Amino acid sequence: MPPLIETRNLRHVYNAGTTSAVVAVDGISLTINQGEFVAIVGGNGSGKSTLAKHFNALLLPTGGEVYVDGRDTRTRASVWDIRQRVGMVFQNPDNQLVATVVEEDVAFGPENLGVPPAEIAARVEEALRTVNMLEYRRHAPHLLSGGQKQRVAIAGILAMRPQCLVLDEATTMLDPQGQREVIETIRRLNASGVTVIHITHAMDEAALAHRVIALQDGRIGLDGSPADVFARAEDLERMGLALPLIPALARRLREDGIPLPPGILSVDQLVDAVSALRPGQTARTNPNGVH
Amino acid sequence: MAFIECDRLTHVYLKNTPMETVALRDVTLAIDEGEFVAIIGPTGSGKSTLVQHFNALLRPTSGSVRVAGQDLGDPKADLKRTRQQVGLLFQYPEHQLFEESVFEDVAFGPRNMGLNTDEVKTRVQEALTAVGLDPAAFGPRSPFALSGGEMRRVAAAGVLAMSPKVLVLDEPAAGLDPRGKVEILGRFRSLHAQRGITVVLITHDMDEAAALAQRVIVLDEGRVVMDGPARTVFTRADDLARLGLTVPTVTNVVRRLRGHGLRIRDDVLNADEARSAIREALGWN
Repeated sequence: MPPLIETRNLRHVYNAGTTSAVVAVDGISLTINQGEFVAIVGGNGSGKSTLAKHFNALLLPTGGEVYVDGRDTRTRASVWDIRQRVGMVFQNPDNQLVATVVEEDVAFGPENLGVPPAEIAARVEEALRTVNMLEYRRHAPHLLSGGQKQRVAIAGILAMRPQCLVLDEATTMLDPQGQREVIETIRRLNASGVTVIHITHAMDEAALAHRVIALQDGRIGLDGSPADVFARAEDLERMGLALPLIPALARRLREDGIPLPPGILSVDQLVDAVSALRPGQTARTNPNGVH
Repeated sequence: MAFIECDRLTHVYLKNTPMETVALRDVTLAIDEGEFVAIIGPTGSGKSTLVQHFNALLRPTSGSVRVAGQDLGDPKADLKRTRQQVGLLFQYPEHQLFEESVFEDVAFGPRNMGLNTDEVKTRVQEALTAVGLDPAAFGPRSPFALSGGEMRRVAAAGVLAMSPKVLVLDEPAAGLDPRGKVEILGRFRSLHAQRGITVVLITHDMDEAAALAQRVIVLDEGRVVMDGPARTVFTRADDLARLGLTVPTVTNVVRRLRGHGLRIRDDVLNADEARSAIREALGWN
């Protein structure tokens, strides 16, 4: 079985051949398999969004190749197959919903795919239930909160039965409540087998993924588990990124000589590790600090 | 006398229509010169409505707002002066950049104040320097060719060029990358520390509020439900949770450690304080 997404020495140059040419992606080779939960981080201008737009042929390579489920994205005939497999949610919740009623918005994708009406109704219901928005099916999208709008946008993609969901800073404009709603939704989807690629500035959200890819100047700087990537504090700093607060605090405590295990990413892990060192307590931490 | 005083301020949107919404109810508060205040609260709690009264962009439905002793409800009030004294940086202010060059964009306010060319130039240079942008390098550039963080700083410079006494910031770091966030918040911190400018910060990010503000005002459904030093407000985790709000990450860590029986102080606000508190509690000094 081919990987779900594969890029081979991918390059993307905007305005190629002009004086304002910008190399946004500069030789990226990576493989993302079915079922992964990948966070892509990087400063402004690091190429995150440009890279992501190649995952469903919204952008085509100016050099190298991209394959989605074995299909070359440059093959025009494959574009609809690819977009049905990989759906994207964008940053601004107000720019993505097109219909005046929530369920019509969710039906838009499958209608375009030519799905029979009876099945569309079933898919819409299932998708709205999955994102916990079924009770809003007859509401007007513009009256929903930001988090609710993004969940409707996700439902619109789910109704096309994709294998992969790409979120391009989809939590950036939301309040903390909306961010939690979207994060919970994508974690649940990933647990049910959907591949999730989450592009984000929020390093604490990246810590929830199974794999973190950090980009700098259009290239891959780091690629590994959150524990591995967040152990490389100096590298991240050089890339204009910061450690999430908890790994940063754990690092400082280790510098003070407190023997905390490596790989501490969450409040729970830090609390457990520190509690285990309590005066009079025998150490019994999980050596990896991961549960 | 406080610089900004709200007395039983109430604001109702679309009054006497079926869409009538009470956004603020009997808000009484005072903000002194030199304070750094964070306003927090769930979405729809009235935060943005409140601060738009501070420079008369909105008028009270009832109650009053006084700025620098001037009652903004007085028909003879000099609102131009108030708007120069209280600078408001909206959410996503880079959407409001419109001039051909960074210099012209920042110069727009001072020019409208009737300052002469030399004064305008000085104001623009000072404001750009204050937000960490070199006036010579950035002044001639198009604001639309800048990074998101730089555009945000240009917008902030446009407000600073009016030499306001109070800077009201509505989610100033939202949507910026980590470096842009640290950069712009650091600028506001030093404007407060070095120039004594009063800062009112609306934020959803409790870590940000704890790291910057001395005082925290909590709004819920248009009412002030807490108002006090950051250190005190953020120890009320249960009350905040009932409003759907959290405490700063490090405050949560020490609170949970206490739950595990560790004797540790619970009023930490940033990573440095958490670090010393944990060291102390473990007897690791």
